[in-house]
Amino acid sequence: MLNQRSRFIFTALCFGFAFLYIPILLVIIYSFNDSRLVTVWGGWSVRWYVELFNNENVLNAAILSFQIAAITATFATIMGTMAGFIMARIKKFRGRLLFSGMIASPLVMPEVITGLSLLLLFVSLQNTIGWPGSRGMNTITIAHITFSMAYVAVIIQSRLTEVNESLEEAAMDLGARPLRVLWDITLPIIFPAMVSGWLLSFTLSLDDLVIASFVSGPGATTLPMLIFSKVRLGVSPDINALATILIVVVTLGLCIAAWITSRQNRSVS
Amino acid sequence: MMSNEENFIEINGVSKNFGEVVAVDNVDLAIKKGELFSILGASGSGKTTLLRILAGLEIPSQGSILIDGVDMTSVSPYDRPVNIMFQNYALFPHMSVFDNIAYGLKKEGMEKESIQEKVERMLALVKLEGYEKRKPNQLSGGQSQRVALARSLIKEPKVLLLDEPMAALDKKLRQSTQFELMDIHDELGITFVIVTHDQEEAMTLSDRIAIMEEGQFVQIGSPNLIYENPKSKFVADFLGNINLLEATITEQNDSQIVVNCAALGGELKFNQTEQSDALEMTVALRPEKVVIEKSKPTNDQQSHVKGIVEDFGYFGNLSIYRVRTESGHMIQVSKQNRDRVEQSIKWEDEVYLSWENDSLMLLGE
Repeated sequence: MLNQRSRFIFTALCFGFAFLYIPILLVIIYSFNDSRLVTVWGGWSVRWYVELFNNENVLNAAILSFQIAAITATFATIMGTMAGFIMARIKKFRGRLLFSGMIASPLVMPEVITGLSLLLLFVSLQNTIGWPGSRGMNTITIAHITFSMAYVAVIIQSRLTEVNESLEEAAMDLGARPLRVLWDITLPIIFPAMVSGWLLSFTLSLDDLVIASFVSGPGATTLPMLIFSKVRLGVSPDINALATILIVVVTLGLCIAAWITSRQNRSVS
Repeated sequence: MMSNEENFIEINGVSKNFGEVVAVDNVDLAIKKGELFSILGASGSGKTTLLRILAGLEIPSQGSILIDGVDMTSVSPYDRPVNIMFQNYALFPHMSVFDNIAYGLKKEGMEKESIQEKVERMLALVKLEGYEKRKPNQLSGGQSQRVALARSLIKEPKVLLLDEPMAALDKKLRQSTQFELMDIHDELGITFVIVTHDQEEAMTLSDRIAIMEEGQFVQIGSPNLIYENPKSKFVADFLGNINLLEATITEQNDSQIVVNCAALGGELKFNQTEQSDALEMTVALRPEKVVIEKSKPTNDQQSHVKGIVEDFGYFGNLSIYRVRTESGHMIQVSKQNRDRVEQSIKWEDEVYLSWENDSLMLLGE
């Protein structure tokens, strides 16, 4: 009885994982396909990778995307940490509810709306103060920071509410001034959460198509935008190679985040 | 400076409000130098808030705090000669035992060699030699408590504040730790202020106890004084077990009050000069001050009542009886089990209860 039931659960699990991961596996396998046709297997080869690295458009888009992702992740982590810190540590201030609502709203706002409203903002800013002169990397980065920050703030806030405030009070009691406490106690304890936040922002930024399409200008094409426009003309095999590289990068990032978090959890709990 | 041996810590008219809630209500207190002082109260009585005010973690809404003659009311926690040990110990999880204990000295900017030496001495004091490299998550509850104690003692504060120091330990460990804490207190001569809800702990540890209720002190004194001469019904009931029996004043003059207490068999006289406005009083009698016997007491002078044992609890060192008297009142009695024999008094036995008249206490509300 129990055996039968656990076998059913095991089968369901296998199907679930298969549904999620076989398409990804196929992309990876077909990225090594020698054939020019995406659906026909023509033997192993790395020619699409070579082609990819000789394609200047792809390389430029990749460089742009990684730059945006890195800058976004860094700023979103700094600002999101500050917001999360205030939410977790300052119990009462005027407009707290409004503040928390405004932090959380980018999480639930449809991307189309966020993209459109940011575009309108940039256009009207340009008309009134002449900045930003042209839309491109700068506007995409600002847009990405705006929504990634919300994710970081939520991660930091939930981590900080787990950390007992008496740790900070104990440090203060032992002679550390507030800034010192932040540096010695609070930041080391929330560091893994900050790393997770950074990696999450990086992934979100790398992944975003909708918002980037809205706020980008003629000169700037991110990787997702490039892939999307290429696919519209028909799927070419080098897309598989590109996708494989992205998968590897994202998986590596997630593994590092998981490793850091588990290491820290072991020392905290 | 011949400073303030008697008023080493001075709390003058201190209040603390959190919005509408008054946590500490106009409290005055003086604590002597080197004293082991306990603040005892139920949860929500304001005792922890008062301790946090002493530590500087809360700023009083009113009143002032003086420590060793210096006004500390608005001095930040990092500038006070006071250290606190938190209930949950608050050990820094990312630091080793050594770094935890050394933290306070490092912030003082002390040299590495002196820190090393001091931490080692402190580890020896709390009997944790060899544990310096461990992380807090590798320690047992008792060990964590010692590290927390060492960390809060290393700066040699003028006052050590302890918030429920034993609450997280199991009963056996708690008893041995209590005595160790007293030894450490004797050795260092630092003034200790302990906050606890555990009356046994407060009684064992303290030179003096302050009993706190709803933000105010209801009685301050030595454990012995408070136990034997509680000022009110609340204090009597809070500290240890006690029989609280209803009584009515029948007569009072300048030197004595006569009450009628049905549970104790009628009229009782108390030598008391203070007159009472209310007629309803309470006669209090500690269970261990009642003698329980199967035969009628031979001494005719001694007052006694007859009753039937309704409940009986055997604790090894003592037995506790709940006796229903002829008048229908319940009286609790505890009896030291001095002889190594089978319990002679059991359920449903007819017994006689007797007591010395000066064991009785007359209490108002």
